[in-house]
Amino acid sequence: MDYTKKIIYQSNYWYNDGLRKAQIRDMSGAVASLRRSLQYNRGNIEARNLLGLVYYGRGEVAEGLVEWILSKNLKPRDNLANHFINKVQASASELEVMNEAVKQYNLCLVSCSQNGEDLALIQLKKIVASHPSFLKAYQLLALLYIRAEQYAKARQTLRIARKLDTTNEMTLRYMHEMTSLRGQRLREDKRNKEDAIEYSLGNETIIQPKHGGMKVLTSKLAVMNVAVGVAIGIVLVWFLILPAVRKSQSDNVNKQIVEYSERINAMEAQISAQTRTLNQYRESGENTEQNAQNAAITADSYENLMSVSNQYASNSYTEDLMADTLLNVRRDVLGEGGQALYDDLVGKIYPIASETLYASGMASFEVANYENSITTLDKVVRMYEDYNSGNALLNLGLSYMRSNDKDNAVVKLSRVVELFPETEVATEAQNALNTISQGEEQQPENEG
Amino acid sequence: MYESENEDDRNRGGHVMLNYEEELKKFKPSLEVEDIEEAVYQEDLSDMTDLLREVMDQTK
Repeated sequence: MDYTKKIIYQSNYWYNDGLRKAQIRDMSGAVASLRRSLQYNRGNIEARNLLGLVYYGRGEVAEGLVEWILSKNLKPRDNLANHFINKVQASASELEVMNEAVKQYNLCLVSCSQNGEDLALIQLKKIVASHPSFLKAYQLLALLYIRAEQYAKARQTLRIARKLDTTNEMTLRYMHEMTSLRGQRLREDKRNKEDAIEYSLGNETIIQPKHGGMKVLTSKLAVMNVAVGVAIGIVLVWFLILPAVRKSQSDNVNKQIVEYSERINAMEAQISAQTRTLNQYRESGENTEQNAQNAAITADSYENLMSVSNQYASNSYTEDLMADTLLNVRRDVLGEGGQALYDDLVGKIYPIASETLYASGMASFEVANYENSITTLDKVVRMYEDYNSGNALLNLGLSYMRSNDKDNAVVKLSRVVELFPETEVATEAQNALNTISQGEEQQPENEG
Repeated sequence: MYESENEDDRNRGGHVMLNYEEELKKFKPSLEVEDIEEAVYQEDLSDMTDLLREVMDQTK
């Protein structure tokens, strides 16, 4: 048998040994055997894959991945390492959690070396909760519990560590430590019992210290020390810690107030901006409506102008009829050509139409047909406000007054007074206005 | 078991039979995922065959 075969046999022997140990969760033993197997033959793929799995089993994920990656490089195809790597990659979130736990563990080691054991202890509790197969974390946690003399917790932690790796030297040593400590305590308890006298009185067993006086004094002193300690503690809390807590609470409240104020300001600014936008929309809407109305008025004016122009050209319409249509034309909305045509038609139609309509209106006024007189005289006034030296406007006002439309009567009569001061029509209009105002004064009195 | 070698350990709450500082030294940082690549490159892959070849080369 040549030496290469012997080497391979040796490698396989240690692989089998490692496998047996891994099967009973003797992880430390398995690691040692598998390492030896690989020292004989680095190409023993099964040994390397199992070594990775053992590392993974005791929570050292990265170490496991290193072995599997090496295995994959040595044998890229038909290799179980591919399956392991794919599995780990598929559960990326779990890998992230485990890696974070490893990082925290490393930080805890640094903390412990810098006297930060209390912080490390708290952190390690979180680490083992998030990564429950992390053997090293359990062991460090147990050591910190032992240091803090929390032996029950240390024992419990070591039990979990032993389940992860049954023969780990460190775990077993710490457990042995716990056991010897328990024995030591039992011996101390026994010694304490020997210092007391035990006797039965009826059904009761009475234990009395041998040197009662001194012991009682010592215990009393201890109680007093504790009481003084507690009192000092309370005073310290009252004068040192409570003010700090109150200040902190007050700061928090102030911060909240500032925060709320900022929020309110921001919301007010938002509301203001939205209101402005809304107003802009409204104004825009109103403008649009006004433009539409103007367009309609312009269109109507042109239409009426064209209609009157055609009527006049046909020579078959009376002037008062054409004036009716022409009165609906608004000169200001017409263009230059439109205005010229309008002026021409007004010059030809209004003089005749106003004469006819005034005569008709006055006839109606004379027979007290004020409804008709208002309609016709209003047209005359719209054509020429000063028609017949204000008589048309005066009679329109009187028509309104006599048909009990006081508001319109006051408007028209006041206009007469304004346009024709110190004339007969103005005097008559003023008299009519006085009559209206007197009537208004008498009416409340009558009602009263 | 380690005997405590100085008084400080007793005062710091360490058990008398265990030297906390010495125990702490046995804990080594664990490998993080970010360091895997470097660890793969640094892995010593030499085996018994390599050793024997080296010995044979020297004897020649």
